Amino acid sequence: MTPERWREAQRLFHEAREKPAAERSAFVTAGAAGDAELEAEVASLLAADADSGGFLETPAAPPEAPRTRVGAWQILHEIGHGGMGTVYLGERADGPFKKRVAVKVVRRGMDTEAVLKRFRQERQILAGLEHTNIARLLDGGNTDDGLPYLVMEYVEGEPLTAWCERRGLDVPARLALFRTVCATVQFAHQNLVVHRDLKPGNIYVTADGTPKLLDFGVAKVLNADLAGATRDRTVAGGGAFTPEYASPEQIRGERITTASDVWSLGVLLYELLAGVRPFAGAGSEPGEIARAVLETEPERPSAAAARAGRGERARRRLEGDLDTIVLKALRKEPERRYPSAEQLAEDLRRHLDGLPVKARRDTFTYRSGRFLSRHRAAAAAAALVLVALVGGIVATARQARIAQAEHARAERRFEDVRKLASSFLFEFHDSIRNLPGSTPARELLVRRALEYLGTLSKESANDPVLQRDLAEAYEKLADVQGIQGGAALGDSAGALSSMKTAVQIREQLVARPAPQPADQRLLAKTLSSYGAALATTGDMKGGVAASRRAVELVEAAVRGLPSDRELRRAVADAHFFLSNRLTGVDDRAGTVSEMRRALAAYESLLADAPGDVRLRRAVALCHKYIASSYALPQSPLYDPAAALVGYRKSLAIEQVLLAEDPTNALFKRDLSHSFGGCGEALFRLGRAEEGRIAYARAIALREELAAADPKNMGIRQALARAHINLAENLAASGNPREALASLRRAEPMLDDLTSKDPLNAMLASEHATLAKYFGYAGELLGNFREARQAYDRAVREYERLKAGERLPGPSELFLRESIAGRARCDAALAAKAASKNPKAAPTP
Amino acid sequence: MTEDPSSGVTRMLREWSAGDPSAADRLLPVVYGELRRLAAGYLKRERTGHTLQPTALVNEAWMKLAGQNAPWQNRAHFLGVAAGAMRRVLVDHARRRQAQKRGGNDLRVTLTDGVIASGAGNEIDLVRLDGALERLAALDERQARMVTMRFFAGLTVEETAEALGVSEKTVKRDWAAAKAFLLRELGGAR
Repeated sequence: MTPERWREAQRLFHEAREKPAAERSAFVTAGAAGDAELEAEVASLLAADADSGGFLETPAAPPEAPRTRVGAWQILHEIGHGGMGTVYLGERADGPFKKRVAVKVVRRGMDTEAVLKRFRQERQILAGLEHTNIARLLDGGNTDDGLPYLVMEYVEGEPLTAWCERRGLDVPARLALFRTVCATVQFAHQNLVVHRDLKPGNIYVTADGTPKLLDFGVAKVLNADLAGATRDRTVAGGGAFTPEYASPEQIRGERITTASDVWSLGVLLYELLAGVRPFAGAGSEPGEIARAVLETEPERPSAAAARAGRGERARRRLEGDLDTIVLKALRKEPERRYPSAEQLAEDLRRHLDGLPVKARRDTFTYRSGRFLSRHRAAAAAAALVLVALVGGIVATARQARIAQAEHARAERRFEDVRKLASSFLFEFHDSIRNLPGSTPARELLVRRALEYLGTLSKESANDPVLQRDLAEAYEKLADVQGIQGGAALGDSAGALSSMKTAVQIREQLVARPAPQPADQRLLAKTLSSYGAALATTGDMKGGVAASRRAVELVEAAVRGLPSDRELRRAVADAHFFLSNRLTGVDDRAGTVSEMRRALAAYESLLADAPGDVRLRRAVALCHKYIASSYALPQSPLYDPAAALVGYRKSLAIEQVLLAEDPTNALFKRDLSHSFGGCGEALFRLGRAEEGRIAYARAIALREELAAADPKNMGIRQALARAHINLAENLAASGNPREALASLRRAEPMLDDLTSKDPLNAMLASEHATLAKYFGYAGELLGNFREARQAYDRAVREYERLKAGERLPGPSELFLRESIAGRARCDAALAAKAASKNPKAAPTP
Repeated sequence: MTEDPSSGVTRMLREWSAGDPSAADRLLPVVYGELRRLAAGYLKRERTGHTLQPTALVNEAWMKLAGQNAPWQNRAHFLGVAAGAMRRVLVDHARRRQAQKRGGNDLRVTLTDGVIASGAGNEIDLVRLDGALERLAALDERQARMVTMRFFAGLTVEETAEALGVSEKTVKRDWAAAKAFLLRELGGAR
């Protein structure tokens, strides 16, 4: 050919490629216009083109290095290589004996996880199989460049079939050798190893006539995941079996058991006796053989032997027992073969000994059944071919289908992940929500769910369902991080940031055209929580603003849907939270009026559902909060008798709730608060002793809670609070020493809590209050120096809070009291100093 | 070689780009030598990484020889030259291996992979492919170089187009024709 002719041929070749396959031949004939040489050239190019799919598409692999040494072994030369590894002949580099070995090394580039795993497995299997008839594992390890290798006994000999043929062994001699092989396979099976690749090439006979089993490279440890056999094969990329010797279940990629090895032994026996393999007539292509193994019954060995020219004597020798035995080993259904290699060997022994064999010929029903199933298989195969043809014709359409399938799969995955995250949040989290000790587990859960949802939300920012989930995830995270009073870890800053994110997401949902009432309701809820979080970190005004927006949102929504219970519930909640926030800015009247609105709303809801636990609890809380508005001495509404009435109402409800659900941590906590409130009201009413009993109940409940959930900060804060209240009671009723003891119990708790959550204004003011009472008790005991120090500490702590506008309203009074206390101590110290040393000037 | 190879290569590449075809002839031995050296180092397992792909080998050689500041165009030219060197390395290796096999002993230990291992690229007879490429070069030198770049150096269509100064479309067309030609020359069945 000349360059000109090549160009001409290419032009026609490219034009023809544009045409549908069926038209190409005619097109080329026309295009060549009688130039037969050109036509033939282009036709052959097109034929090659059609077959050139992966040709040259994978770049040439870099060469392997010639190895000279592996571990302690000198490499003599390569004796074989394949897709997975290379086998070298080696000998011991040191030592007096020149022992020859086979060194198998994983091929570079094939050191994939799957291959390495198989290699490790082979090593493990061989190490466990010490047997005269199994090539021994001598050594193993990693080469200097990190490739694993095995060193095995080097078997000098020839394959079993060739050995028998070359020596012209008679049937009994062949059967004797074969029975040794069976016993060896049985040994492997007893060690829970299936060889999976029994064939003459893997059974060598040495010069002294000892058969040796080689190559457990695809062997499998039984009771490992045998269903993974197919996957192994494809991952390893090498042929894991040889079709001529592989069992039907192996070809189908089904579960492999010892019965597969029995099949392979059957093929081997067939070949030893008949001189041909059972499915040899099917063709030479692996696909043809595989189909024959699956679908056709092998010819009887006696008939095959006769056709293979072994003569009439051979035929008669095999007819009967041996035919039956071989065919029993070669049954398609694993359970109809010999149950073990040993039993196959045993039947051969019986035959040799002239005893009746156990194997029976197939019955007619069995054979006709097989015939039918064979034809079903053929019909199915035909259908598959048709599908493949159609698929091939619309190749581009298939590409599109693949793309579509990918898309669908991505969508499914997306849905799966969303569901997983949701179930984390809404089922798992909620189910352990009130379980003491669950806080860290909940945090982990929520964080994991958040990761999933975060990824998803990036993928589809406009999916409202997902946005709702995401907002809720942030809320739950905030809850775990530390909304005050909840089962919390004590991370207000984290909680605040999570809440803010949730608010932003929900605001976007409400800002959508025609917002759903549910989204409005949920935004209100989130805003209420956010308001609480703001208040917890000292932003009282911000808290009120968020809560007011929540109230406005749901009030507006409920006007359109006045019978919507969920909205009515949301209205009640919003008022409840706004009331709490108003307490923070010292708006006592607002606090009470908002709480009364909440109470009325809850009671109206409860009237329709009297058993509703959550509503009962809400009503109790309303009573409690109204009571607390009357409880504080500095409040213009101060009325300890009214407070006691309110606390007793909440206490009554909560005692029933806890009795109904005695492990509910939330109910326990509620009840402890009511006891605490009662204790305080009783103290203010001058019933200090009754008050101390109530405090003791509150402390006992909180200690139970703290013991059950040691990481829960909120509980420990409440416990410290109860100790401080008790101390106040004790000090005021003339027991300053006991008061100090109570304060000392609260002190380490509050030190620890404030250091862990320094942004928490409530905690910080509690810490200052503790100092104030240390001052008070000290003052009562006449320890003015220590008392002054304590008061001074309280003043400084309160003032620091005040400077940052983080001082909760009621604490103003405490600050003033601390300043006054400090002054009293100064005066007392000065008086003392003056009485001791009249010359010293009193300090101002 | 006493001259700093990188400066020499850069100069030769510049001359080549400037239209001096003899620069390529002078360049090739340098590149080939360096590739051999790199390949030998690789083969001696000096590296800890896993498979070193031809592309990586070629790129590494380029970095060593021309330095990082060399203009992109030069790199493209270099890739073409290096691909030729890779071809020599790989074909020589295959030839030695075949000779060794003919003289080698009988296989005594079989491997796990029988029939199914005969996959795509690995089983191509590089020595015969080299011969077929020579025949293709006689008909269209550029197509032969293109196959060399794509198959022996693992260059992408884009890189090949750039190195040869043709469009990607041309590379794809020539690639199809060259593959059909080579596969037929190798006897069709792989």
